[in-house]
Amino acid sequence: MSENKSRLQTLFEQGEFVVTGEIGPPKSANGEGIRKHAEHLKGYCDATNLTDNQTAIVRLSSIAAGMHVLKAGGEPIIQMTCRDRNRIAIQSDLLGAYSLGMKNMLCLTGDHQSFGNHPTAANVFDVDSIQLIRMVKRMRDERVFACGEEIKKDEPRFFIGAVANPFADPFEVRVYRMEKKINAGAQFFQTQIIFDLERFERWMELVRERGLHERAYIMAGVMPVKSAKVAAYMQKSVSGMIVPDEMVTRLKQAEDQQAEAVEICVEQIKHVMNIKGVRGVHIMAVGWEEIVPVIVEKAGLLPRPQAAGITQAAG
Amino acid sequence: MQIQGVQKLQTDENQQAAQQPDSPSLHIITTTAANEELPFDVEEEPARERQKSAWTVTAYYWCRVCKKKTPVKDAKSCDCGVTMCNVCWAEWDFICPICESDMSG
Amino acid sequence: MIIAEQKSFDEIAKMAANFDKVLLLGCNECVTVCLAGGEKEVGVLAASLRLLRKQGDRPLTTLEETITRQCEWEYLDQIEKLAEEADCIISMACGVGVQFVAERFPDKWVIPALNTKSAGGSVQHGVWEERCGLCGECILYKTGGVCPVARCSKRILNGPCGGSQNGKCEVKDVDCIWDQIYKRMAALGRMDWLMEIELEKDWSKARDGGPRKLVREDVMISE
Repeated sequence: MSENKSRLQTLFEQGEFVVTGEIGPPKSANGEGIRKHAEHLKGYCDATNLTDNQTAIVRLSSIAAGMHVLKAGGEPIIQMTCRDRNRIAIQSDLLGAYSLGMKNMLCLTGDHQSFGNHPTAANVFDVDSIQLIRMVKRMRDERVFACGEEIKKDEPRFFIGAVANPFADPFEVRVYRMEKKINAGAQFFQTQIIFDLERFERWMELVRERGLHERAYIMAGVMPVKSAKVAAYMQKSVSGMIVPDEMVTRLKQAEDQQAEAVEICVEQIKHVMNIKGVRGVHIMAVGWEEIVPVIVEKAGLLPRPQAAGITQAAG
Repeated sequence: MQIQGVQKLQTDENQQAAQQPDSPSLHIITTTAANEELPFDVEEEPARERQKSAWTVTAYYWCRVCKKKTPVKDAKSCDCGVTMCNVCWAEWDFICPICESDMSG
Repeated sequence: MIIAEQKSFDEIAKMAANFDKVLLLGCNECVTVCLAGGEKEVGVLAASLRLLRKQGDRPLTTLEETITRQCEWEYLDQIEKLAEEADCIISMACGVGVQFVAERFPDKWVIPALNTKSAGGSVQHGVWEERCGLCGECILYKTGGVCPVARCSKRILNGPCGGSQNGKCEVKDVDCIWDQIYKRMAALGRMDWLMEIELEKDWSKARDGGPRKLVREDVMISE
């Protein structure tokens, strides 16, 4: 059987420095915005994450959103969380997504529902992210469902991604957990948004000490912070994220805050590109998606490379 | 302290009972029909339906800033995901601090 | 009360295999009533463990004690000396007791001897049934004092589902609790209550909302 690898995986294997973006599906039954976003990112991002009801707010499903991206000629990375589905629903969705031509799956536990717009909902968490990764891998490599039953034909063959947060505590445990995810089958990682580069570098040191950078492709997460106001909000109200004071000050003092924001983000990308073991960058431009092409260009990441044997356009 | 409180409650209750001799019994069973047939075809006055929403579903958001549980009518959630109570939104002049959407509406 | 059941002897023996002197700690509350972890069970388990280890080349010394409640530090304080003597403590309480023991004696390895099953009671000799789902917001006043959260396999709030057959649940050999609720509400002349649509439950008050903590300032002792 031909490998039929995803564009994302092919680029990693070619040794390219990969760029991915992110689209948050809308709180409505209209896919037009997603298609527009996907077209906008075409030629600038190699693949695009579709979030799965992120922050536990009901949105258009990540798999349906992935279909819109495919139609727009892009390459989707489907996010799959454990909050809303048990192992039956998850596996069913894996089969469905792969049947539609989606080849990248990013496995997460998912935000707790108390943060979202249905805080009184029951949660599922039947499996956790590590068990989910193993499940996707076993479906692909061992051709079995989670229960052990054989998948007789056409098993889903996903390129498996996971997330890592170098900024949560305890610090060392973050690396162990990442290793556990690799052992379970994770092939690529996207990190939480990085502002504190010094801490990220220390974390990457630990990653290299354990040789994890040779076992999985690591993408650094970055976010262009539009203004001092956004930075202040994130510093104050978004947990699991360290926003340094210098950044807030720098934005505050800038004449053109948006230009400064792009500048900071580009600096961050250039910085992480030089850290050994970082194989790509994941740009999460929450609330400022239109700036992504500018950043990619200014960071000197154009033109985006071609994936050998894959004619599909980037997105 | 507590015993005094209980005594006070009991006194209050007795006074109330004295004032309202026809007050409904505290027991749930108010009809005498012990074994009536299932009245699926009977059109009941849906009086309790109106009370119902107050009884059960509490729709609320969790304000991301002050971390308080807030009824939905006193909170807003932006399309980009920022969810705050109106007091916290006011601090940002009802402009979303992440995506700059106008949330005053 | 909490219903618990002893783990298999093999499992307990395996968990204790690396220790030479163990304290078997019983609890005089729920687990005594459901015959899983009281004084009698402590004695039987201790004797069985000693016997098993005598057959091997690593004999086991056992200390036995049963306290009023393992879920209260006051009673755990009483066994401090005893705990010091042992390499490990086999707690024969529910999961709550095991954790209180572990918190009270942080340098001791703690082994759970029971599986904690449910919040329920005995319906006949040797049979215990679940009654409460600990959902955090009691709805028994709507269902005639019969709980669908704990006792319906799908925890349906507007039941019964199509799997109710002759008063039995299709999932396992238990009564269909919605069958019971209907019968009871009919008998009480409250059928009209059941005709109303029960809306979505607030699961944030149950375990879904995260670990629960109850604070009552009126009974707290301030410094």
